[in-house]
Amino acid sequence: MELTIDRLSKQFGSKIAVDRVSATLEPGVYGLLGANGAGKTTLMRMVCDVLRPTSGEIRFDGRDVRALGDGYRARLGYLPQDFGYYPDFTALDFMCYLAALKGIDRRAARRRSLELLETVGLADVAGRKIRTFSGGMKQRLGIAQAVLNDPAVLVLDEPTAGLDPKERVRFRNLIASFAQDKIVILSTHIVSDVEYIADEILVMRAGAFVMRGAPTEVVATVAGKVWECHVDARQADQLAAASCVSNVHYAADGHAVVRVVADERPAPGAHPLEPTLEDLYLYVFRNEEQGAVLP
Amino acid sequence: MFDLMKFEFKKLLARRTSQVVSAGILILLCGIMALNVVQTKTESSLGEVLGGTAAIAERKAQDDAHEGVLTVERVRDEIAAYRQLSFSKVDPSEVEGLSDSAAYELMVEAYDTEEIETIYDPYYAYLLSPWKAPGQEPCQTAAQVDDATAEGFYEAVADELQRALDDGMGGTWEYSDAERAYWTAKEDAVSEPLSYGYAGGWIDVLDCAGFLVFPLVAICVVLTPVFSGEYQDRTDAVLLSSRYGRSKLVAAKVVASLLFATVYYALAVLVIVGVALAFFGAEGAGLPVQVMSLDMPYGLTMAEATFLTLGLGFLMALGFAGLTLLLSSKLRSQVAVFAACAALVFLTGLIPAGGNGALLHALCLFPVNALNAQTLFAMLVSYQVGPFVVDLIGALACLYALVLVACVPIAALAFRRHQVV
Repeated sequence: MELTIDRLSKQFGSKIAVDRVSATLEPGVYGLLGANGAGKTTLMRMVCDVLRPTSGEIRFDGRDVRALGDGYRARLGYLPQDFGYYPDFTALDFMCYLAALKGIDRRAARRRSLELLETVGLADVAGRKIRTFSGGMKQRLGIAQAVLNDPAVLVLDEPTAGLDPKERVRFRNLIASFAQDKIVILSTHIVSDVEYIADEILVMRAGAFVMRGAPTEVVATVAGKVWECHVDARQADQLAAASCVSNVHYAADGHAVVRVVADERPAPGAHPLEPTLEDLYLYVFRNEEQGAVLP
Repeated sequence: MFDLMKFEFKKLLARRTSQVVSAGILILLCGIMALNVVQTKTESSLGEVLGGTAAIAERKAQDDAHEGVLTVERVRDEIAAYRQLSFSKVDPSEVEGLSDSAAYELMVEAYDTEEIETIYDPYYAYLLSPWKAPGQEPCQTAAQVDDATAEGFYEAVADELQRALDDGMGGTWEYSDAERAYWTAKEDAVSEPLSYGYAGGWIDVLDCAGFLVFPLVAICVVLTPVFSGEYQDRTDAVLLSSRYGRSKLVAAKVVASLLFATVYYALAVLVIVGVALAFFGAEGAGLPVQVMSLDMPYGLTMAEATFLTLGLGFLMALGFAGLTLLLSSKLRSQVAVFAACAALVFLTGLIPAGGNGALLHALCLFPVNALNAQTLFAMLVSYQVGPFVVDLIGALACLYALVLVACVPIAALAFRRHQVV
């Protein structure tokens, strides 16, 4: 199984949202990282065939997904970023409705819906109208509907938005258990969501992939660029203004421990640390407003 | 597919706005029809003003008294009897040249209540209508109709049509030769002699057919979010990325929408027809449509005319359903969709033709103007396309069938091609 993104572009007027993106995805979990406006959602919409590319194509097992039509969508699961729902439907109604849309037989649909509602912790409220759900509950319902048809390609756009830490862990475990022999594309700017479960990280910026590789590989690109400095509070503020600071901890004695991502040692006495995916993210997008060029 | 339709139906009816509007309009129709019964008034032969069911019974009795076939001999004899009564105390020359109000006062002064009751019996006004000049009282018309003239009753009816064609809607429309031939042939096809009798229930249904614009609006309100609601609620991404999101779902939405329009329209018709026939009676179904007015050049029975009007209303309901679906598939704003449909339903009924025949012909194509027995069967509204002439009924049927057939596939295509941006 192979999903090929071939020189895919999307232009809205004069703005290029996705710029000749190419990638070949095989079964595994792909973490799509990027700042707001990087083009992640546009790319995912094109992958899910709900937005027509300006140029390029997406192929599933060598065939254009638009030509495959229903056949491709039958193997697709999608949780959009702004997940819409029907407030007057119960959770079970909603699942059964989407099961019907996905071509699942009525009896199997009910069974599968109840199973998934159980999995996402909504079994107790299966008969309640969605209008009474919290944001996190709606998001869990969205995740459940995305996997209803046991999709070969699962696209999740900001799936953990609105979830509390416990729910995020549960979500990660769900995806990890689900992802075998499937292509899972997971977009987020919460890096810890993908750090543990992604087989590959795709970093997107200004509509293009700027970095790609296994988490350890991409994180290694910032090795030697993550520093810890022990400075006083005033210096900490100066560092925060001048450098890419990923964390500051103010001690009771007025000193601060600052974690900085920088090419050069940011302060005398700063010592290097093991980088994390979050450090990489901050490093890549450190000058986003200025439109800096990546190293 | 059935499951999808069921869910689409549920979505249509789950919205509070849809529930309130559709239930509210049915209640409004019930209220209107109830008032229609309660407010029916007539005067008995004893001069007593009757209301409600008593008035309906009185009217029925009055019409039943004149029931039968209007043969030329009968018309002649009845007009002669009418003239005899009307001019037993007043000379025909005395009413000629008077204004209608002066003629009325003269008759009221000259005759007692019972005689006046007969002189002003609507049946005689009906019999004399082919010779009636504008602003004439029945007695003034009768003054000009002797036995020989009365024997030409059906010729007078035909002449009335020719006069109407010559008049050209008060000088605002010039009928082409083809149109004149069309209407003349239609008039010729009306079988004679006509029958007269009571058809109050059917007349009431036709009188109230205009209220069917309310269910049309309710249908527009309920169908407005069919596609635009998905865009606005951001459910479009999930739907369109699903297996049947661009195929069976679209069909399910269309079928559910048209089914809703059909069921809701049927309910509205049931209210109007049910109340009208229950209180005014179902008698007279087989009477010719000319019992309403002799100037209707249609060879239809009252039941046929009623079914035709309700059928046209149904086509309009489906046409507006199709149009609503089209706008809904193209526009994100539900307010804009509803405003456009409501404007076409209501505002076109408020625009004055202002003596412009072409504008009048255009306005007649919209529900408020069209769902009216006088407009449909008596106004002689015709449209010529090349050598072909079609009357308002045919034009409405073609137009709304075309709107439905054109709008639904375009709406389906628009949703299938919708881009989630």
